[in-house]
Amino acid sequence: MSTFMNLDMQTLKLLVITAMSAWASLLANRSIAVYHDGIRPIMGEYISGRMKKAELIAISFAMSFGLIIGFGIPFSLSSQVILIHTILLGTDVIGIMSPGAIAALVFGGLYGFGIVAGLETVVKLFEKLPVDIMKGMQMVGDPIVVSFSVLPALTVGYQFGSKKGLFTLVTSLLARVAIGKLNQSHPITIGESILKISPDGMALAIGMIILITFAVLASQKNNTQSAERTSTAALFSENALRIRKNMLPLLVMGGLISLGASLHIIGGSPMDVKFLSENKVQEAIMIAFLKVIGYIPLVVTTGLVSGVWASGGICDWLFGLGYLVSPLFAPFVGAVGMAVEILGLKHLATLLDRYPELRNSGDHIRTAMSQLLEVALLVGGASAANQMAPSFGIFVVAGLYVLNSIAGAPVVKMAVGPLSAILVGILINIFKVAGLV
Amino acid sequence: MVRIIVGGQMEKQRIADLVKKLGGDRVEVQVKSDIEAAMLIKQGAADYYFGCCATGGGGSLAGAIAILGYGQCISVSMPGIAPDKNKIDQAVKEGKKAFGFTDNHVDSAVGMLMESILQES
Repeated sequence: MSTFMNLDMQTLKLLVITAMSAWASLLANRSIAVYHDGIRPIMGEYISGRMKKAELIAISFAMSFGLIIGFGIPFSLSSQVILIHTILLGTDVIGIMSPGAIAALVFGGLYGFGIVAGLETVVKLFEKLPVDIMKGMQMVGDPIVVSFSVLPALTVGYQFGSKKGLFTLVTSLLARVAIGKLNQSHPITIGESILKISPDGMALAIGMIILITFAVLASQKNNTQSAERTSTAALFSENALRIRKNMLPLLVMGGLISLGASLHIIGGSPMDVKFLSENKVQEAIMIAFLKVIGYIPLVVTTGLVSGVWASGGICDWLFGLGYLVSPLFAPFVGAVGMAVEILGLKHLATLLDRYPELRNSGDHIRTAMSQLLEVALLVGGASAANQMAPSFGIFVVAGLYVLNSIAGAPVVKMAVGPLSAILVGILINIFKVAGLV
Repeated sequence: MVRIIVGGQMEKQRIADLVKKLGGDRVEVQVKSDIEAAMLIKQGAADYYFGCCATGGGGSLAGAIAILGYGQCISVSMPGIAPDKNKIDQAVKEGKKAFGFTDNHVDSAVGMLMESILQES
């Protein structure tokens, strides 16, 4: 990291985020790439002239606003790492709204700068409060650390039934405990240093092996019926070509993503944000690569039907590549990663058509991840609130969670835990100042 | 008999089960990949498309928008925007064919959609 040491970390963070934000906004303006998977299909409609710009702006804004406020910002506040949604969902809308390329670059850059400065200010404000809430806020993500390796078991449960899910859960649990014990009793030494095998990594690996085995067996069984499947790649070959033509600007984006990830200033999901903030880079790498399986079907389909690619790549392996290498190499590795996606697009689509169970596994991983995060962050939010305000923290969190469900989930369920924890932190300070506690 | 096809990318089986539970003998429901599901609507082999994902518009409707055009599709819920019965009634009356919603809103969205659709038919 030596070349970067001349710049202090804060300035570097500002520079990289501003550049990333400006570039992403330009890509959205030119209809080359957007981050939001829901905007991509309608952007295809816009490119082909079937949708007016005003309508595209209105829908993009409606789709992104709730996610930035309710998902991106809360998760970026509880650590120094910015959740990428905060930046790229905003630049989607800014780019689409901007009248031209220059405006998109300028407003996009300003937005990124504003996000870094704004988050910084809020965190400083939090630090000045009479009752400390930063320690509590950092607890919100704690349950993620212990529970993420249950993901394959949940995916198996969704795809192949709860009994097989339970079997996978028990097997991964035993692997986890066994490795923990082995690390203690028979540590593997290489020379002087002790090599610790991550119990989470082992649980995750065992779970994935079981998931893949079930998926392959099911694919073989169903193979006879899938002879006359439609070829998605052939259906949308013009769009694949459009994405390929935009290769160069996309490579720059890939490079910027991996650079940011390598500097540990952005994370692709609440999970890697949590791991990076605790310097657990290995775990962040694992989750970033695992997420790819879940997002291949989504990004490939939305990309092919629209001719617009994803500014973050297929989430989140470009981040994973960044975590793996030093910031000096990260831009190149990220650009190569992006090239692999674009050149491999047709092959990925064919693969998904040929092995429908693989596509299903992807869908189920996303469902499992969403459900797991909802539970883990509710528990995290409750324990954080309890730490900040033992007399009423859980009262507020549990109450708001259920009320949100009764109201038909106006707030993203996954974000209710973290948001209510922030609210409890503010409340306890108001009560303190008012002399009520 | 209303023929409903579940495409999209999340919670597919749960949606299909819910449709069957709410519609009983009046509906026929099938689960397909999103592109195949949209093709069936286009060919007239099914009447309505339901799809779900994290955003209500991406994985939910990508295939449907590409094959049917946005005019026949609508996101009835988005992150932070719960489904609205009046809007759903109106969309069904207007003749929209494909409906997308988020995984947070499966129960409410499918409930409202089924009510509107069964009334309309």
